[in-house]
Amino acid sequence: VSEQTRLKKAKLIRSWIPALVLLLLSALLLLLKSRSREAFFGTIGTYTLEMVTIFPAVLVMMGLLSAFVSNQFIVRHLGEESGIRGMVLAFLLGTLPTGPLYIGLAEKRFMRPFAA
Amino acid sequence: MSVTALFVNSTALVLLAAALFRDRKRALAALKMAGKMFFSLLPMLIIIILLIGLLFAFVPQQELERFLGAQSGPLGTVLSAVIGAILHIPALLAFPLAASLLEKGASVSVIAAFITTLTMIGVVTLPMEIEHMGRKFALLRNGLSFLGALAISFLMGVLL
Repeated sequence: VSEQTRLKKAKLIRSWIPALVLLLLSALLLLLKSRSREAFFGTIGTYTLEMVTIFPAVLVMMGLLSAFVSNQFIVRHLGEESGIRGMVLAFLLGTLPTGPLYIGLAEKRFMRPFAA
Repeated sequence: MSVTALFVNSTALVLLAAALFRDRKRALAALKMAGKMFFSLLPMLIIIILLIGLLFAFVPQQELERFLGAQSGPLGTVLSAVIGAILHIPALLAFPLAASLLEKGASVSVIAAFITTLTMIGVVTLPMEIEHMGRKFALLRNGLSFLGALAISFLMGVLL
């Protein structure tokens, strides 16, 4: 196993620790206070359903966006020469629902040589 | 299924069909990317859902109102703005949490401050932002965003 895959694995395991701790904590609380079980499961049922019906579709659209919109396209529309239109477009793109911030930051570094 | 879910899913399906038709290989790569994103966001998703469940099952309404409700005043708003600035939650996952807090009796300006700093300020990503964008840009942008968030939350409290 190479160093890189080992690091990746360690990072993956670490990202799950808070979720598992919270899961154990919830289980403990529910065991101690059985009266709250109904409220707990009712609530998480509703939210899980909501997430399951919306989340995958949003991710598919994000994947399509990054696979089909080329970097040249972005540079052309958001670069220095794009002017006011580029600014408006950047503003609109930024209001898209998801796109974790760090993706945006990485793209900016990529665009720096192109004087975006 | 809600109207939102129906709309989002049908849009995604249409786009996916068009993508598959145009460039099969790229469309499949996009699907793979979506799967990867799903698994990297899954722990966060589970945390948010559990937190909402715990909130409804174990936090008494008046306690929550004391800390996040209208009585909490400017201090509550500033506190929630700071928490929102520190936490790193994708907006997609944060809205259900914010909605459930509102339903439980949190005030509009507190929740507006939380959502606004959550999306506009990244304390966790600040070192990365400084590295990529420069110290001046990053600090100015984040600082102005904090002031902006407070102004927005105040206005939201007045308007809503």
